[in-house]
Amino acid sequence: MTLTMDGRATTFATLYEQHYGAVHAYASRRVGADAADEIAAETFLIAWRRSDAVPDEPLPWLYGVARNVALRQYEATRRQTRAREAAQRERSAPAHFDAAADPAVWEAWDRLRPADREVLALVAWEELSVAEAARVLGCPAPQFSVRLFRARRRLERLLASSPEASSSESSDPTEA
Amino acid sequence: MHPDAITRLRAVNPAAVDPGLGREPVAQASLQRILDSPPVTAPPARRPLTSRGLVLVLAVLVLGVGGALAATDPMGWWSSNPSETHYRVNPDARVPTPVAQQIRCTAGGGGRFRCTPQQERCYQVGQRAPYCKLSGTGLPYQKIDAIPAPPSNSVFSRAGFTKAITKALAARRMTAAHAARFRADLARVPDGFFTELRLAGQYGTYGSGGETKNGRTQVPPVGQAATLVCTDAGRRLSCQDLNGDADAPVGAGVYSAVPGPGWRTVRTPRYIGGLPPGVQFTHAEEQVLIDLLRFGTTTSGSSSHGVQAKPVHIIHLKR
Repeated sequence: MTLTMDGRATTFATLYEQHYGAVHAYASRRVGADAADEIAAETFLIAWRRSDAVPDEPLPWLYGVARNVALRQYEATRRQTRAREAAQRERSAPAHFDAAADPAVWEAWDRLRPADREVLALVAWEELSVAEAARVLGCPAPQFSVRLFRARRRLERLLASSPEASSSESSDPTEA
Repeated sequence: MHPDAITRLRAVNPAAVDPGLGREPVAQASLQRILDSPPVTAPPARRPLTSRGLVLVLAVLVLGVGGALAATDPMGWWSSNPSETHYRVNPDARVPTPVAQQIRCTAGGGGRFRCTPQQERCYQVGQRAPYCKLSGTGLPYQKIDAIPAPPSNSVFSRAGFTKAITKALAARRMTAAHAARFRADLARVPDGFFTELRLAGQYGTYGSGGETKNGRTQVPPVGQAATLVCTDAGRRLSCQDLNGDADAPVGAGVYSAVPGPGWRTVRTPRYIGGLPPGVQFTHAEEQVLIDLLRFGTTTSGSSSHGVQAKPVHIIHLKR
């Protein structure tokens, strides 16, 4: 497809092509692949309309926009579902997660609060630095560091209390 | 020895980044649609709640429709901002407004609340100042408004705007020069603008939460609705969280949570903007809205957060 465009549009198209995959993956991890196209499209529409506000390092900013878009869509959708389905959507991972890969991780993930999940996902899956992740959430980096520390500790405790952790500890004869 | 938690989480990343996805046909088609849409100079991220929303609110007042001061804010709707409540009115659903001024509520599951009207009882011992408290148990809420009907189609139309300008001129709420400027700007917008305005007019916002100062706001505990929309259900009220309600009936009671134990003080959240889906304002259309703000005059609109007068019965106690 050949696009006809001026300089501003050319710059935007470059931004779009460079970061669309990352934004789409971000959305996919949070709302599932089905809705990721829509979230990504609206994110970049906002970026186009606010092109003056896009910083030189655009990815954390784009993630922040995508986060707000996803939250809005999630709230709007949740009002229209029955309570049981809404509760299930809150607790369970998106359908395409491979729970068989490390079931203990997913079980612990399910038990984490949404705020903890968001903090951990930004570092583990989006692979952002503390400073970048803090920009996504709109909080100071030191505050994000504290939130990350606490979220990580909660995850570790949940993993340590999982049946898999208990059985491996008891079956390893080399550990004192 | 188990790898650390972050490493394990990384290993189960549910969606790998496809760096070439942006060049795929579907993504390119989406890009073309974005580039074809008119660019809109959006407000700065930290724009206060009243700014763009107030444009339309004042428009409503100038046009003589009335309504709660902060009721119309189509530039921001459902949001995770704990100090804002966004909803959409169902103009075809009308209910009587509950009479109860104060209610106490318990969660009924499924986002619904069971609420009962409560009386505020005041006690006075001797010459001391009376103290008042709400009877009953459950979370306290105070009525602040009823869901207003959105402006009628006849008002939010080219003819409606023109008529309102004439009316404002006659009432000397607008100068001749301002009216001429306004009419010229109106001539530059398409009829579709009024359609979008009518759509946007169905969305409303209430500021929720407690006192705001020094950049900090009081908000309810996590999980407690800041604002409820209620209808009569026999002796009780049937209520649900107004934030995110896409179907609020006209006339339903709007009840705001009363600050109490467990309320949190948070940094005043950044206002989350964005128009409802399908609504886009071009520069020329924004100019019409700015004209309303700049050239129109406000009547003394009633605040949607004012506490309504309520009868107080003081019970005198003997020392």
